Amino acid sequence: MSNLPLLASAYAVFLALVAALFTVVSRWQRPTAAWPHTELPRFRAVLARTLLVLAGLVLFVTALRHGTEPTSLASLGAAALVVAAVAWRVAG
Amino acid sequence: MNDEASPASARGLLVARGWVQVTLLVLLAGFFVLGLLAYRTYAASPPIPDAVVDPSGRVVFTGADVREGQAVFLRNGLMSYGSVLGHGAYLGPDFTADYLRRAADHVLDHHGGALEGAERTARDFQENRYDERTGKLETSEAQARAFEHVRAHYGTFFGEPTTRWGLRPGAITDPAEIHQLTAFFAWTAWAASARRPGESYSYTNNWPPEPRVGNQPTAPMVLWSMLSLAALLGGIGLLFAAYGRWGERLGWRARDHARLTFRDEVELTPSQRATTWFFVTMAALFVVQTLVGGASQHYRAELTGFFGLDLARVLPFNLARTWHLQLAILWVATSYLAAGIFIAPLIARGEPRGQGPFVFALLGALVVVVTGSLAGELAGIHGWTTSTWLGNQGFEYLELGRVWQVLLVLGLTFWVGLLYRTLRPRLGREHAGNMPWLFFFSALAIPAFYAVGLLVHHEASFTANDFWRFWVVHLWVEDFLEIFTTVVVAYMFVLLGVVAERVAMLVVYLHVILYSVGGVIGTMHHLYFSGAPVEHMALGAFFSAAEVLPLTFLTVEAWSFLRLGATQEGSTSQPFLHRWAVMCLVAVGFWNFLGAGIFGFLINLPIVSYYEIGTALTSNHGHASMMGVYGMLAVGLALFALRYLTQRERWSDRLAALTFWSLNVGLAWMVFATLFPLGLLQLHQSVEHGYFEARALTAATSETRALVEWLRLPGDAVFIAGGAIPLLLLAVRAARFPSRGTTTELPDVLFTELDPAASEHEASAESEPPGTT
Ligand code: HEM
Ligand SMILES: [Fe+2]
Repeated sequence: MSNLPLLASAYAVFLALVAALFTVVSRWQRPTAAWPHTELPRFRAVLARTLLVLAGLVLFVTALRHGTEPTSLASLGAAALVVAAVAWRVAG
Repeated sequence: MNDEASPASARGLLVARGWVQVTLLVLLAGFFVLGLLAYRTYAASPPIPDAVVDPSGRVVFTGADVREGQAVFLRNGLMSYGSVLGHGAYLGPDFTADYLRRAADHVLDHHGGALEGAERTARDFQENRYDERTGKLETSEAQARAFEHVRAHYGTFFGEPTTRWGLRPGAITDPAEIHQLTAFFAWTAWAASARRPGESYSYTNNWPPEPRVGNQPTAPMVLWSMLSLAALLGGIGLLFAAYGRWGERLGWRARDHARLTFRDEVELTPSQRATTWFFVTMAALFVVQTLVGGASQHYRAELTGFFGLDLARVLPFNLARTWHLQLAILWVATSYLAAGIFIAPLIARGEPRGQGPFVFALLGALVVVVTGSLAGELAGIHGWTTSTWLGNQGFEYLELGRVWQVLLVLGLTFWVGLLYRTLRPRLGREHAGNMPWLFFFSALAIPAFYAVGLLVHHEASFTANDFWRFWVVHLWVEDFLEIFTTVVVAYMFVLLGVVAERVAMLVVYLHVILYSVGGVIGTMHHLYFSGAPVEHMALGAFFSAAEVLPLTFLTVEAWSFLRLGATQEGSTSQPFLHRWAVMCLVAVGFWNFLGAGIFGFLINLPIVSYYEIGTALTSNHGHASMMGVYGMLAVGLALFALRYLTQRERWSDRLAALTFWSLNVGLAWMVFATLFPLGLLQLHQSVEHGYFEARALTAATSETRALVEWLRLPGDAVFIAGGAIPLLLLAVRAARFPSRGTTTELPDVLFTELDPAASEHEASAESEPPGTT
């Protein structure tokens, strides 16, 4: 077995965490912040979504290649859950 | 110049004198140290022996071979294919590490294999048998044989009749040239393994990591890595403290309570109108740059065959990569030149007669240099010419032929002259420390530091060349462009009326000081392993840590470019003109922190650089910072000017938005899909198995790495189709539908002030972007 599924899962989780970080930081924005500071959350939100799409793609492509091995399925599945959870928070 | 010496009518210095004095002091101190290091570079770089002989006195190769081999390496564009001493391109191997590994394996065999021969092999390589008096370097018998063995390998490799390595077929077939090339690589490998007289490490601080010859991290490397980290942490602490104490007064602050509306049509001078064509040129070069970038990336994902085409017959990897790098510099520079030309009349409130034709002359010269230099590189890399004057010089970032290099310096100087011509009346009325002069000086620094590149030439040693080359590369991007950027952006904000001139000046001075404290001596972080003595590494590591400080500050609201204040809001229903130009500055701040600050520091410690240099982590940093900061700024400047240059009803904010988002999403994708993870994989491989393995061509075909290389395709597509091409459309629109301009005279500022009193109560609370109503 190659260690690709494990690496891919770990990297997808990392991407999801960066996306989550962008979102959290944006919520610290002061209510009185002036334009274009107010654009920064939107900028980060777009990048966060980009990273989440990327994380999904990484998991998907890896699953296509290694989806039949039970251990890789488990790690990819767990990572997919994390990505989905962050995606749900970011969208919400 | 000081107050007393200025003409009576001159405006005095707007900020305290201490700012000017500290700035000058920092620059002088920095360049004084760089001067000393320049001397040390020449005094302590690895010698090129007159002759390399085996124990029986037979000549293996000569110093002339080494020098000629360097020329062969450069003019064939091999520095844009692989690297030497870690510097160059990343598709091919690092030829220093490559030679060292191949030779060491051969010597090891000769001495009886890994079990019995390890110690003797390491001794063969480490022992410095260069005799300064005779100019002779003696190799062991086994090393002399290894040379012949490796030379045969390079004969096959560069003589390859197909394009399977990404080079043109039969790239180098002349046995004499193969001999010289191998001699050059062998000499760098000698410098990389032979111990400096009196020291326990090699001329290159034991780079590359190669256990077969006993190359491992040195004591100073670990020590200065640690001290560099300490410098960073201490600096951040200091910054926090300073911010706590003076935070209220540091950074950008909006003008108080003014309510403004922006002129969306202004009278344009002939030279300003001419900049439209600069922006068209810039956007066209940008499109070509991304296309050849896509081609060079394709070689990494799939070395042979470009969707079935034998691309390397026409566009070998090293040509694609050469153009990619040269065009990056050229399109960004074109935008800066145009921005300078556009802003100067606003500063001077007018321009002298005949300025328009001069500006067109500059554009014409630029086009000649661009096409001439690109054609020269084409001819050089295909082997149609060996001239370094018109053909390919081949130094990474300074690939262009020397004629074109000289012309470019002259062109940039001409540009400064044009700015001076426009600014002259205004400069005469200002203290030399005020904004108009700062603008002029920061423009002057651009040709001045590009001209240093003329010290780099084929006959000089690789170490000396690297030293001067990075004056251009590093001092441009990490100091003087950073400063020019700040000045231009500050001036834009002053002209837009959102920042007071004095505040802008304070920011500029603070920037110059903060960037230069670390940035000037920090240049040496590129010379850890180039053959310069150990103090280059020590000072480089320590001072470049300080470069990160102003960048960490970018996360503090008032510090970033963005503190425009609430001034534009609520005053009219008219959308803010420069929404996307200002958004580009938002992005510049973001990428400056992530791409330059984090990704730069990631590879900055000598102990990290030791394993990492020349891998995708450098590429990761290079792209995120170069495109993220200067590329994005060049686009922002273009959008700012194009907005005035285009007929109001022909301007498309939607195209601008598309460009903006595509460039940023595409860049983030490129970095996070490929460059960053690939860099991590390579770093791991480099420490675990060896630098040679991390850089090996065949490693790129492993499943994981191939996947990672392919993953960036969607991002690149978005970047090119959604980012670069719409920008070109916008520029072409400005050319087709030029703004009619108004009949009023050139404005002092790009806004009109509404009733200042009325706004006071509403100015603070709102945070909606202007014009979203
Ligand atoms: C906007 C600012 C910056 C830009 C545009 C930039 C650009 C680049 C580029 C293009 C390279 C590749 C050089 C090569 O091919 O050899 C590079 C290398 C490097 N940069 Fe930066 N950089 C910036 C800021 C920084 C900062 C702030 C640091 C850290 C303090 C840093 C540290 C490094 C290091 C350590 C290398 C590798 C050294 C080498 O291989 O020569 N950079 N940078
Ligand atoms: Fe640098």
